[in-house]
Formats: sequence, C-alpha cells, structure tokens
Amino acid sequence: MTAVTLIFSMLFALILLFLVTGEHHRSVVALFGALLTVVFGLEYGLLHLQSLWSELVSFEDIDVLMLVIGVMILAEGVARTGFFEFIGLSLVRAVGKSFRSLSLILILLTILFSSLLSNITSMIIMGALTVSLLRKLRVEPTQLVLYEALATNVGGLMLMVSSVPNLVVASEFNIGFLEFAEVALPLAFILSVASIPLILRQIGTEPLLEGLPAESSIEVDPWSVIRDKKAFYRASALFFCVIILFVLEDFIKVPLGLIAVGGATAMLLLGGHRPEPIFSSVDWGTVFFLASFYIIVGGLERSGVIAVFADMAIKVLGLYPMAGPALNVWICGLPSSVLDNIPMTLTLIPVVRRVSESTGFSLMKLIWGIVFGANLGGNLTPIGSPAGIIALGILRREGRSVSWGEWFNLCAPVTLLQLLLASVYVTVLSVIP
Amino acid sequence: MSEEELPREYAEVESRIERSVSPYITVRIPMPEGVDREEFLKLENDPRFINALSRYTRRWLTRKARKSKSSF
Repeated sequence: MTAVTLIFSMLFALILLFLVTGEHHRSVVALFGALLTVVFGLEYGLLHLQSLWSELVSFEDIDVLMLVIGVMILAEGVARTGFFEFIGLSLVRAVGKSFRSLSLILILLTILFSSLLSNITSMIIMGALTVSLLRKLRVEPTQLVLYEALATNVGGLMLMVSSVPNLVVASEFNIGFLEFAEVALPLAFILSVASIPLILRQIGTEPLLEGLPAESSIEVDPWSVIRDKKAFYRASALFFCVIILFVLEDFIKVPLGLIAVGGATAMLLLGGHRPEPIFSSVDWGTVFFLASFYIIVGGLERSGVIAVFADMAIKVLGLYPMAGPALNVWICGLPSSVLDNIPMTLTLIPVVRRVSESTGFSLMKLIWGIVFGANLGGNLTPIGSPAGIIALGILRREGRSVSWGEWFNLCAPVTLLQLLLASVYVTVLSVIP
Repeated sequence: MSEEELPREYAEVESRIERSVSPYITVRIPMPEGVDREEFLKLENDPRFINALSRYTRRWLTRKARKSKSSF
C-alpha cells in the first residue's frame, strides 16, 4: 500500500466516522470530504489544476443527478395535490372495516407509496394517516408506525426510481426500468409474503388507548383532502405519463434523467402550483450528498483504495465463490444499518467492477446484492434509515418514545429475515444462467 | 436528519388527514364585554367548554334541519 492509498483510506474512514456520529448534516460531511479529496488529489498529482473542473465532472453521473432532482420535483408536485392521501383514504374507506384489515392495507400502501415516492415522503404520509386513524380507533400506534418504516424499505427496492441506490446502480450498469422490476419485484413480493403475517400477528396484541371509547367504524371523505380538483387530475395524469415513459425507456431510448427533468418541467408548468414551495421542498441535501460522494469515490479509485478493497473481496470470493452475491447483501446491508446507504453503494460499485474484471465473475450477478442490502440494511437500527428516524419523530410527537431495545425487539427479527431471504434470492439468481 | 427533527410537511399532511378522518372547524369567538380576559383565554384549552360547544352545535344543526323540513 502506497502513502497516497494510506492517506485516502484514512480520509475515507474519517468521512464514515463523521457520518456515523451524525454530528453534522451528511451533505456537509460529504462536501467537506469532497473538498479534502480535491486538496489531497492536487497535492499528490491525482488531480490537475488546469483540468480540475472537467475531471470532477467526469466523476459525476449527471443522468442520476438529473433523475433524482426530476423525480423529487415530480413527486412533490403530485403529493401537494393530496393525491397520495386521497388514495390512502379511499382504500381505508373501501376495505378498512376491521383493525387487522386496516393494518394490512396501511402496510401494503406504505410499500406501494415508497416504490413511487422517497421513503421520507411516504413515511410522512403514511405516519400521519396511521396516527389519525388509530387515534380514532383508540389503538396505540407504535408497532404499526414502526412496521411501516420497515415496509418503506421493501417498497424502496421495488422499482428503479424507488431509491437513490437503485438509480445509481441502474444507471452505472445500464439496467432498464423493466429489467430492474423483473428482478426486484419478485423479491419485494417474497419479502412481503414472508414478513406481513409476522407483523400482523404482532400487531394483534396492540393495547387500546385509555380514555374515550373506540369508534366502531371509520367514516372518511377522501375528497376532503383535495383542494383543487383540476390540479389533482392534471398532476396525477402527468405523474402517470412519466411513469409510463420510464417503463418504455428501453424502447424509446431516451435517458431517464431527461424524462424526469422533462416531466418535472411539465409539472411546474401545468401542475397548478407555484414553483418556489416545490423547489424548497426538494431534498437538496441528498443531491449535494450524492454529487459530493461521487467525487470522494473518484478520489478513492485514483488513489488505489478501491483496488485494495477489491483485492480483499477477491480473496474472499476465491475461498467461497458461490457466496459472492449473498455476501454483497451483508457487506452492503450491515454498514447501512448505521451509515447512509448511498456511500456504501457508490463505494462498492467500483469494487465489484474490479472483482468481476479480475475473476471473470458475472458483474450482473454481484450487483443485486448491493441493491438489496443497501435498501434493507437500514432497518436494523433506529438510525439506519430516514424512514425509521421519521417514524420515531412521529411517535415522539404522540408522546411515545421508542428505545433501541424496543426497536431491536420489534424490527430486527423482521429485518434479519428479509436480509436472509434476499441472500437466498441473489444466490438463486446467480446460479440461473 | 437528526432524530429530533420532524419535517414541517408532516404537520400539514396530518392536519389535512385529520380533517378528513375526524372533521372539525376552527372558529374565532371575540371576547364578550365584561368578562375576565385571563378566564376567557383559558377557554381555548378547556375540554368542558369544548364539549359544551359541541353539544350546542348538535342542537343548532338538529333545530336547523327540523326548521328547513317544516318550511318545506
């Protein structure tokens, strides 16, 4: 290992340490890391002052950045019309006759919403819906809200646009929308079928809240959440048009980033909202975080750190060649329980690329472990996923604090089962020719 | 995002859903003359006062419905 490799390894460890402690916002940590990468890169000749900007831009994946921004604007535009609350309340009115059927429908809705929206937005909508409904039924909301946080991560692996790690991997390896869904949807189905009965059995033991008697039925008016019907129809139609264009991406050969930005522009023009509140609701922190981490990973590649990681992975793969895809689920999943899943994904992509080049192991068989591990691992601890943090915030607002022990008791068994099933699934995928 | 913060959108979404699940209205009652200001302001969070208003609302709406039926 050279001095440069050692310095960049220490820099990477420092960035991860800052991210784990959570003392500063992750985007600020990543910006600081990117700045140090540039400074040390210039000092050690990995970057050149004359061509600095073009070199930094070459580290970025512009299509992913455009896609992330475009999808955020689109989702915000349609969410502001009350579309998702409307769908939720309509389904509750249609099938939520008993507490058990209501719980089932709320968990399935969480999975569906988080496949189309960011996990944060879907947790906000589903958390608010759950707390309001359960307050009316006088049922303690803790377990259901926590299980919804777990469900967001199952929804988050379903489609290519469901989470940032999915977008990053799909863009890096040219995986189309349908191709992604073909592999990820069956796993989401398996995880739902395996974990929902477990969750429902647990939820059946929820205590009733003291005080007023529970109302025997819930009467809701879904249309009451729609303020402007015209905007609602227009924004929903636009949102579905963009989803259809994503599905047709393989045939129309237009970059997904362009479809997303085009859709976002149409939403801003026709969605019936002023653009400022939509722009201010976009999660710019994630955009800066992603863009900065591309630079950090670029520095790790040039300094030889990625090659060191790859050599270690090759040694493990040499010992257990069949275990490669399943190992990726855990290598990406376990750190994602305390770290953001974006850095894990970005760092592991060049590692598996090198492993594949050196060993001849199919790249496509290795990458799915990263996608599934990154999405599911966050559920192991209360700080591993943004949806979990939001869920805890919602419960705190309701006067209920959840300890780490309580989280482990309720969520860790379901998460470990999901990671195990994902490992089996990627292993089966890897033996299918 | 720290564990302490909850996005401000949550309050907006919750209030929209809450109105649909448990409809409510917000009214402004001006302070009547000759009452104690402190006592008047306390009414906003007094559950007995809110229950009394709720019962009065029911009576008002029942009477209104009966009147419109008899005029019809």
